[in-house]
Order: sequence, then structure tokens, then C-alpha cells
Amino acid sequence: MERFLGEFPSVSTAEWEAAIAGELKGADYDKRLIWHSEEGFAVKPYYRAEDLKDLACVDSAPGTFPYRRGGRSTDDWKIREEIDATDVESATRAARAAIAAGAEEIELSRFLLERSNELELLLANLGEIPIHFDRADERLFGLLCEHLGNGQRSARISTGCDAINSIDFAPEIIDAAPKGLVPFTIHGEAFEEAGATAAEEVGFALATGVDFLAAMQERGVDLDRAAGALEFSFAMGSNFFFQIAKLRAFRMVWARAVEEFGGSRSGELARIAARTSRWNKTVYDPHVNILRATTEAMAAILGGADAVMVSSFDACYRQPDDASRRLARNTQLLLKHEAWMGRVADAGGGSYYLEALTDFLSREGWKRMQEIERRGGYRKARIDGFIALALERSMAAREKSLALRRRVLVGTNQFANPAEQALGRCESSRMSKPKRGAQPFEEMRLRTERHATARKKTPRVLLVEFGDMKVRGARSNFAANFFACAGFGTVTRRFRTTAEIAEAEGDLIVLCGADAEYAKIAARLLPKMKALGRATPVIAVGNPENAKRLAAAGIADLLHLRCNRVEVLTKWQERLGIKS
Amino acid sequence: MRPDFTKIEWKLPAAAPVSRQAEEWCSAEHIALKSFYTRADLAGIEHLEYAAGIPPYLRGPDATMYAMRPWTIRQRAGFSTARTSNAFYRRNIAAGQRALSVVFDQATHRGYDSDDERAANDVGRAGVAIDSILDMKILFRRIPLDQVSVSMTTKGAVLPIMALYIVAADEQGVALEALSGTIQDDILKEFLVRNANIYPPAESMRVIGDIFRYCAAKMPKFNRASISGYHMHETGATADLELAYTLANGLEYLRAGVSAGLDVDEFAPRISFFWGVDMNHFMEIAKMRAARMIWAKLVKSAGAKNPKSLALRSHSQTSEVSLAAHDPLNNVARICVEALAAALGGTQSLRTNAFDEALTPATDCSARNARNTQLYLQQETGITHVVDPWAGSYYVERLTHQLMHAAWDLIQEIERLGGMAKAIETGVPQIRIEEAATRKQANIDAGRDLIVGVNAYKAPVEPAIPAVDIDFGSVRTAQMRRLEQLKRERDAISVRDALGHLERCAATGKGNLLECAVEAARQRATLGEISQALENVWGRYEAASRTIAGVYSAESGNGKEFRRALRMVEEFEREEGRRPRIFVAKIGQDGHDRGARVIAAAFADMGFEVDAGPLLQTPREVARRAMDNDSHVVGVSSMAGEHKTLVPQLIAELRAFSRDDILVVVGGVIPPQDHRFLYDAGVAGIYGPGTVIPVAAQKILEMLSAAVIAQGAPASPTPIAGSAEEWRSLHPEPIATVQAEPRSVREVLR
Ligand code: B12
Repeated sequence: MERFLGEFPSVSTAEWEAAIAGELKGADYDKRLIWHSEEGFAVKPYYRAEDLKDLACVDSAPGTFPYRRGGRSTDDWKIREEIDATDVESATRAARAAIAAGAEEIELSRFLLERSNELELLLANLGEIPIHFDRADERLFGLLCEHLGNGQRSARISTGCDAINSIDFAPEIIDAAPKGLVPFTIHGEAFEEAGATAAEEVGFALATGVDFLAAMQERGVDLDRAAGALEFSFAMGSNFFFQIAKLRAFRMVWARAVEEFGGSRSGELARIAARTSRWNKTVYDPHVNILRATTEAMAAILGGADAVMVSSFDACYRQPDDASRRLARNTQLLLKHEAWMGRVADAGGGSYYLEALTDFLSREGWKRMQEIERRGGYRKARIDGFIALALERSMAAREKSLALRRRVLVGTNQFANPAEQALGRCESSRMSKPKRGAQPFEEMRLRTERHATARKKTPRVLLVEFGDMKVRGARSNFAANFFACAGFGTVTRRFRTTAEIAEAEGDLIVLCGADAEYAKIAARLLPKMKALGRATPVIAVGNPENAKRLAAAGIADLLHLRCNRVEVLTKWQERLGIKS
Repeated sequence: MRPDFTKIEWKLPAAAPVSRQAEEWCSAEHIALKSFYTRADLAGIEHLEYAAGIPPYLRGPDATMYAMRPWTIRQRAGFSTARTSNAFYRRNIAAGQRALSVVFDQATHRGYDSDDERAANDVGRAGVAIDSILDMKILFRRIPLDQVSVSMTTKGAVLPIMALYIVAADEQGVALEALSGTIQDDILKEFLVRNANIYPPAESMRVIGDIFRYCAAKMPKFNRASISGYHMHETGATADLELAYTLANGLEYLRAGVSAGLDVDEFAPRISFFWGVDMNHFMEIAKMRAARMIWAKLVKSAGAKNPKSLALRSHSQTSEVSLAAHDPLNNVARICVEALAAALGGTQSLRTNAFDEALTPATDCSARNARNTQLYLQQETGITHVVDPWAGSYYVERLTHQLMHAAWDLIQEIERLGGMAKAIETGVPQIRIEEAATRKQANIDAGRDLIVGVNAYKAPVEPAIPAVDIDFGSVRTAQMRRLEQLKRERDAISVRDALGHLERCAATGKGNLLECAVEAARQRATLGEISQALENVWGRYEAASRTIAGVYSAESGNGKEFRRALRMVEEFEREEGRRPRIFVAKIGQDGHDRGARVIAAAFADMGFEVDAGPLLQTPREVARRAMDNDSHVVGVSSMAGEHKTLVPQLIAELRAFSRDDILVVVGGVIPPQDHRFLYDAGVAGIYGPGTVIPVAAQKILEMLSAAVIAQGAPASPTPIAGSAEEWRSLHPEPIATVQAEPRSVREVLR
């Protein structure tokens, strides 16, 4: 048969590389094109079939071992919604409203059932809707065993009860658990929120599960029942493909681990509940949180999560209301009904890049688990501080990359909107738990806002442009962006003489032009300012190599790409008397 | 026993064999899809070993794609005046943008100066009004045209607009060859879907040829044509239709260039494309990948030798039709899903919509959010590091393959009709698009396609949207004043000569039209004058009107509401002796006819007698026709704000002839704050976005029967559902401002 694309021969990798070399025009391949992710993966600019040569199981279908491609072959994911009411009646009401509006699973995050009739009320009202109790204790398990024992209800009930902290009473509960009750959770998202990279999240969650299974086996619990007593929860960050790969990798390493324990095929499938990450959500430009949640939910779905929970965009600074909760829920409904994300299981399966990433994360995850096993298992590694230390290190790296803007939060450490005010809408009790990456920036901005309210005046930075248009434009832009991160207003102006600059209004003067001219201008400007009795600091945007020379010329600070924004801005806040 | 994991090295588990059968389903493109895909689905696919940067460019036109440089964020500005647009551009340039995009008002596109009566409602609406070089110079004041790339969407009036831009640059002291940007002068799609053409197809193609020639010689950095599938998409084309017809248009331009005496390799590299990106995520990604391969094939077959000629470069925009007027914050997520698809499909530049655009031109708040969508995707998601990241996915590759072949079959159909310019005259491509639009509407009305917030999962209280309300009257007065100034100051004789020269060029076919137009613009001829000179020779083109039958009922015929409407029509006929007759009208320069056509098709299928009027009518023409046809109802489909000026005029015309028994109803984009105004003006019913058509038909029929009764018997005291009365009973107090509504979106966002 004649080929439709017969006029175009296949392209070899060598040809592609040659084309890339042409586009690089001599630039360094590694610097320009290789992305070194925080997981330690050197991501290449492209992937092709040959990258998968050795990955036999890519061939598999969704719904079959080793579940890389998901636990289901047709069915789609469940939309889970968090209800944070504290008493059973309002929780029931809220849950029913959510279900009527499209929710498919309910997570009760704030209250513990106390009495039998409360459970009855809930079950009667929520019918065949799966329920997840975020908090659980022995009393709840007792009630559940009692009520679910008759087997009338087929929908699952799960709890967020931490598996590893429950090892002592777990055998008893597993033994008594009626069908449909999944008593324990392994919290991958707790690792993420403490700083874990995707590889660590996979590895640490795996190690936790392994430790749990080992403990159960030791206590004589049937392995499949022990594995079936677990749900895994993960937080989805915004690094799209890594996050998709994370879930796929986890299912695979878990299946493999259970296999080693001697479990059966059904016990080998990890059930995963994913939620949008809380660490990267921001108080400023909060609608970007809607965007983050959208791709995070997509990543969860494409990764094959069984249940997905999208948090409200405003949850990090106030009690979400009906409208913001609806928006969060609708995000998933849109993905289901308009983007048809649930129609094809593991839509990305086979993607060279995604499969390569999945492979990397499973290897890395396995390695982390082995490291922990070498220390005697997860519980021991936790006690000896190994886990905490690893997390601290990762967290510090993440925070630093935010401060240096190697990692971006749009509207917070980059492209901030200086006109935005957040003070009035923030409930401080909600802003600190759990820890978020944007907090150091937000604290700065809130400080500026409070200061401005008290003084009835926002600090103003005067950006003085001169010289070549491209250079001055880029630099004043940089400076405006820089100061916006602390909520400072900026005014960009050009002047005819240094005398005019000396008289111009501003709490800080920033020179934006060519490095070579700064010293000259400072030499003229500073005496004029002094003559006017003005002590406004003069700083510049430029190449850090010139810092010493410029300091000698009286330039108070030098802003550049590699500045730690939090440190520099906090320093200038202090100098300008913004402390509260 | 605890397995000793420290000794168990990671190895890939062996996969279990595929045992289950996948379920099948069917997309809007009639492409069979499966519930899951495996490696077996790659069988028979030829394209897997292609790359990026090398023909046929499956994985992108550049070898490194976004790994070197992400796509360009190109937001559109549609301000009313040259001055406000200019301020907006300068702000963006200060914020680092190096590309700007100009949108003109409908009057400009259709070649009317602002003082022309036919343009009275359209000056400055949804775009900037440009009459002459004075406006063009203000538009680009203090913008270095040699450094900023300018994209202009032009339609019928491409010649005067190009000419004015060239003269503006020249008078700024910028050399012609330094100008860079794109001119979207894809006139074929105007005939297909957008309706802002002026001259007939053949003459319009000559204009294209002359522009090609001019740019090839003098403006090497300027992309001459941006061929748009976006507009087809927005008119209802499914992915296969959008793909096929856009590329078929491209093929026609290739031929125009060749017959203008150009070498394919001279101008093909300057052609770019424009896609609409919708919600069916992977379909859109596949569309953009398939497009690159088909285009490479087409250009190669046209004789190109240079591999660069074969590369399809594209701008994309998230779909505006997919935006809902209801619960509009949902659109934030929609836009994000679509923008992600555009990026993963490999677009070169992207415009993201603002979430309130189904209701109003963007506000500051929504525009910021639109831009942040792209910044977020570029800077936080890590998707830019790898070229064509979905390549290899069994699903995406299969879909790319299927879509490529489906589109190819459609291209063949156009070829059999003699190419796109001829096919347009047969109406075949238009009807296919209309069919798709009608099917889509029927599926929504029947609840088979769910639109969150519209026909499913509705908000209990609709959040109020702060709408932008511009005083267009004052825009027009200011434009007219500047026109007077221009005409006072210019040399009338050289203007006349230059225009005469242009007219001769059009009549004889000798010389270059753009060159003549530039000369006329330099002599201070206006946009309207330049257009008129050509119209003197070529005339204005009027499209034939048509209605398709049977498509709506085929999709929706079993629906409860549809059957009820049918019964009511029968009843009406029994009582009245004839079927209800509706005249579906478009007035003013508003060329949005998708809604009107869908309405006409659906009403006809429900048993109405339907007259679908031609586009671009005056209120008087509509009134006349309604009386001549003895219509029971005039249904105006109003998308461009003409409801506030032209609809009251229509009612006045009917009254003047004592035919106020003919009901006037209005559909389309009518902001809630205008409802009272319209009802007070005598409109009987308003059916905005999200209208379920059979339900609207029922309400109209109820009003008609009530009106019939009212003529013979005392008026019924009960309010009529869906009518002015009903509305008044629900809104006893006038809504003074939008802020008075319960909660605005801006508040929600805070
Ligand atoms: C599709 C579309 C286009 C297509 C039009 C294709 C065509 N041939 O129709 C294209 C891409 C070509 C286009 C171009 C432009 N568009 Co446009 N377009 C839209 C869009 C996205 C959807 C309209 C649509 O067709 N919807 C689908 C149909 C089926 O729905 P509908 O018309 O609303 O009809 C429903 C109801 O309203 C009702 N109904 C309608 N009519 C009637 C009549 C009766 C009798 C009854 C009972 C009911 C009824 O029933 C229907 C079914 O529910 C709207 C925004 C939006 N989301 O609504 C903008 C919009 C209408 N466009 C707009 C603009 C500005 C333009 C341009 C001027 C942009 C430019 N500068 O180039 C051009 C002008 C084109 C021209 N020649 O006039 C603006 C108008 C702003 C304003 N009112 O001031 C809008 C509102 C977008 C925006 N916010 O900027 N557009």
C-alpha cells in the first residue's frame, strides 16, 4: 500500500540533534536545554520511541498488573468534596447540597462521630455515596463496624486514620472491618507539605506501606486484607508531567512490593485519593489558585487517581463560601463533562516522556524505600531523624528557589500586582496551616499594607531610567517587578538632569540604565541630594560584579537576578521603617 | 517474613496480557474512540518516527520548541479609539511585551468611515475605529514599529488598513523592511463564516495576490497571511472541519501566490495559521499535530523545495464559544484547560480569553487573569521543557492519525469542487459547518452535551458581572471631527488623482493594488474612500441565505421540549389556519450569524415557517420584509450591541405602519442590565445565551396565542411566561447599577 506520508522519510535522532545544534547557534546544550528537576532528573528536550526500548510493561493495559496505567479500564474518577462542618447536622446538609451539585464522594474533615444515631443520620442521608472521615478513632471504628456489618451499604467508607500510628490496634480493626470499610490512610501529601519532592513522596509513602505490611504480617494478619485496609493520599503540585508520573510510578512500586510480600493481584492495587497541593497556593492574586487547581486536578486524573479533591481557591486565607466551593467542584465537573477527561483511561499511556518519567520516579522511589529499609524500616527511620532531615533539606531547597525566583509563583514572587490589597480579606488563623511557600512573601506584603494603612501612604520607589532603551526598559521592569513582591508602588521616570532627580519624590531611588554610568551619576546626584538635606537611599539594578565599585560610589544596594528577594526586600522594609 | 528489600533491586514487573475489550464511543467529529488504548493501537500509524524542526514537523516547527523559548503571549486589545489602544499597547510594552495585536471595529472592516450612516451603530464597538492616517498615527504613537511585532486582523478592508499602517511607519521614519508582524487577511474564511467581506471571492483573491507580491518585495519580515481556523471553530466547525477547511484555504492562497507569479518558497514560509482551541483536550492537541503534517504535504505538492516552507506555524486562541455567560468564573478553568492544550499542541503564540467575554469586553480584572493563565503555564507547570510531551501516547497518536485522515478526506471533497474559492459558491463547506453547529446546539438543548452552569450544575444565584459600557456615540463624534480636520487640511486634487489611479488599477488589472492604496493613503485619502474606489469597480458581495432542514430534529427530535413545541405548533395551525411564521433577522454590521442560523434551522424543524433574512439589514428593511411576509414574529439575533439602538428603531418602523401586532423578540448577547430598557422599548421576549430553543419556541407560541386572543377578547390578566410581563413581575425595581446585584464576580475573586 502506498504510504500517505511517503514523501517524508523517518527522522533519525542524529538529524534531530543536528537541527537542534542549528537552533542553539553555539549556545551550551546542557545549559539551555537540559532541565535539572528537584528530583534529580535531567530532563532532555525531547523523548522518542528509543527512550522506551527497555520498558516492557509500557505494553500493558489500564486495569491490569502492574497498574502503571491505572487501576481501572473504563470507569472514571470520583469527585471528592471536603465538608468542614463541625456538627453532624450541618455536615449532612452541606454534603447533600454538594452531592446534588455534582460531588461524588464526601470527605468529612473536621468532626468525629460520637453517637450511633449520628452515623445513622449520615448514612441515611448520603445513600450510596462513598464517605471519607478525615479523622478517626476507635470509637468511630466501633460504630462503623456495628452499622456496616449488615452489608446493606455497598459504597466505601474510608478514614484518614494514619496507618503507621495505628499499628497496635490495626490487626483488630482489620479483622473486624466489614466489607467496604477502608480503615487507614498512608499520607503521601503530608510528605509533600513538609517539603518532599515527587521522588521522596513516592519513596516515603512506599516505605510507610512496606513497614505497615511487615508489621501486619508479623501479627498474623492476612496480607491481602492488610493491603486492602489502606488508602493512599497524595498532594498534586503544579509540575504537570512529574505529578502525573508520580501516581503511575507509585502504583507500580506498590504492586511490586506487595508481590514480594506474597500478596495476590487484588491486594497489589493501590487505591489513591489525590488532592490539589496546598503548599503552592497564594493569598495574593488568588485566582491563580484556580488555574493551579485546574492543572493539578488534570494531573491527578491523568495519573489515574481514584478520587480527586480540589480545594477552593480562597481556602488559604478565608473560610470558603458557597461560591468558591462551587467553583472548585465545577472545575472537576468541567474536566469530566466538557474536556472528557474521564472517557479514556490513562490517556497519556505510551507517551515517551511520561513513561520515561514514570520509570525514573519508580526507580528513585524504590531506592528511597530501600534506604529506609536499610535503617530498619520507616518507623525506625522516623525516630532516628532520617526522614525529618531529608524533608527539611528538600524544604529548604524549595524555599530558597522561591526566594531566588528559580521557582515562580505568579503574582507572588513574579508579576506581583502592587495595587492588590489582601489585608482586609485575610483571616490570619487560616493562613499558616499548613505551611505554604508564598508565606515569606506574603508576610512582607502584609507588613507593607499595614504600614500603609497606619501612615496612609504606600512606600513609593522611584525608578530612574536613562541610556539605551532596551537596557533601561529591561532594568526598570525588573525593578518594578522586584519591588512589587513587597507591595511597594513604583513610578518610572526619565529626567533631564541629576538636579531633577534629586528633587523628585520617592522613598527609594533606583537607577535603571547601563552599569558603566552608575558611578558617574551617583557622583553628581548624591551631593545634590545632600545639599537638599535628603537621605533617600539610591540603589541600582545591575551586574553583581560591579557591586564593590558601586558601593564605593555611594550606591546603597545592587539589585540583580540572583538576589534573594525575601532578604533584600525585608532589609529595605526595615530601613524604611516598615516593621510591624 | 519481611522481604529483604535492601537486596531486592527494582525491576520492571512483567505486564499482564491485555484481556479486556475497550468500549467505543464517538466524538463530535464522528471519530470512533475507545475507553483505553494500548500499543496495539499504534499499528498502521506512519508518523511515529517524525521529529520537530524537520519536515513534516509532526512534533513542532522548531527543533527545540519551548525548551529554548516558550510561546509568545499575545493578548488582544479591542479598544474603541486609537488613543486608548495606544495607551494599552505602551503599558504592555513597558511590561515586557514585544508583540501587539490590533482589533478593528466592524465599520473599519467593512470599509466604512465613521461618518457613514451604515456604520452608525458600529463605530468603536469591539475594536478600534480607523478612518485615516491621522488615526493610524495615533494608534502607533511612540511605539517603535521596527522593534515591536504587530498583528492585525483585517477583513474586507485589508488594502486601506495595510496602506495606512505602511504610511504610518514611513512617517515614523521606520524602513519598510524593518516592519515585522502578521496580517490576518484570510478573506476566504470571511465568506465561509465571518461575513466581513466586501468584494466578491475572485476579486478578493486578487487583492491577496497583490499583497503577497508587495510584501515579498518590500516587507520580508511580515507574515502576509494568517489563515484562520479559529473563526470556523467559533462558528461551529468540529476539529476535522476546522482542520480541513483551514488548510484548504491555505492551499488556495498558495495557488494565488503562484499565479501572482511568486515562487512558493518565497512566500510559503511567511504564511501562518490561527487555531481555535476548545475543551476536548486531546482532540485539540491531535488537531494541531495533524495540521502540521498535512500542511507539509500540501506545500510540498505545490512544489516547495525549501524545508522551511513546509513548516506550519500557528497562533491560537482559547475558544470563546466554549465560555458560558452563566456562572462565568467557571470559564477560568475552561480557559486554562484550553490554553494547556494549545501549548501541548505546540502553538507559537497564544491568546487566552477573559472569563467574562461571553457577556462583555474584558475588564481589567478578567484581562489580568487571562494573561496570568499563560504566565502560570509557562512558569509553574514545567511543560515548556520538553518538545511535544504527549508524543507516543497511544491515544494521542491514534487520534492524530484518525484526524489527519478525516481532514484529508474533506480536503479532497473541496478539491473535487475545484478548490475553496469555487467550493464556497456551491455552499458545501458552509453547510457542513452549519450542520455541525446545529447538531451541537441540539445536543446541548437535549442535555446530551453538558455545559456546567448552563444546562447542568447551575448556580443557584447568578453572580453579577461588571460589564464594560462604552459611550460609542462620543467615539463616533470624535472620529467625525478628525475626519473633518483631515479633509480640511489635505490637497483634494492629489487625493482624487490617487483614488482614480487605484480605481483604474482595479478595473484594468494592471499595477499593484496595495501600491496604489499606499499612495492614496499618503495623500490622506480615507479608509472609506479607498474602499469605495474599489467598490465602484467590483461592487459589494451579498451572500445567498439558506436554511438547513432535518439536522436539529434528527439530534433532538425525541426530546420532551421539542415534542411539546411541535404539538403547540400544530395547535396553532388548527386555530389560525396557517403555521406560525417567524422572520429571523440580523440588523446592522453584525456578521454573527451562527445563532440566527441555528435558530432558523431549529424553528423550521419544529414546524414554523421560517424566513431567514440576509445579513446586514437596516431596521426599515427588516420591518418591510416582515410585513411583506406577513410574519407573526420578528426574531432579531443581536450579538454586537445593536439591541440598544437598532431594535428600538425596528419597533418604531413597525409602529409607523401600524403593525405592532408583529411581535419582536430578541436573542443573543444581551447583558442583563439592558433587559428593562428593551422591554420598555416594546420587545416582547428576550432569549439570551443558554436558551433552550424549543423552550423559547413554546414561549413565543404562548405569546402569539395570547396576542390572538387579545385581539378578539379582553386581555388575559395572567402574565405570560418568558415575556416582558413575566420579567417585570420578577424585577419590580429597576436595577440601577450592576453593583446593586447580590455579589459580583470581582467580589468572589477577592
Ligand atoms: C461565535 C462568535 C464569533 C464568530 C461568529 C461566527 C458566525 N458566523 O456567527 C466569529 C469568530 C467570526 C466572531 C467574530 C467577531 N466577534 Co464574536 N463572538 C462569538 C461568540 C464566541 C459566540 C456567539 C455564538 O455564535 N454562540 C453560539 C450561538 C448558538 O449562541 P447565540 O448566538 O448566543 O444564540 C443562542 C441564544 O442567544 C438564543 N438566540 C440567539 N438569537 C436568537 C434569536 C431568536 C429569535 C431566539 C428565540 C433566540 C435567539 O438562542 C441561541 C441558542 O441558545 C460570542 C461570545 C459568546 N460566548 O456569546 C462572541 C461575541 C458576540 N463576538 C464579539 C465580537 C466583538 C466579535 C468581533 C467584532 C471580533 C473582532 N473584532 O474581530 C467579530 C465580528 C464578526 C462580524 N462579522 O460581525 C463580541 C460582541 C461584543 C459586544 N456585544 O459588544 C462577543 C460578545 C465576544 C466578546 N465579549 O467580545 N465571533
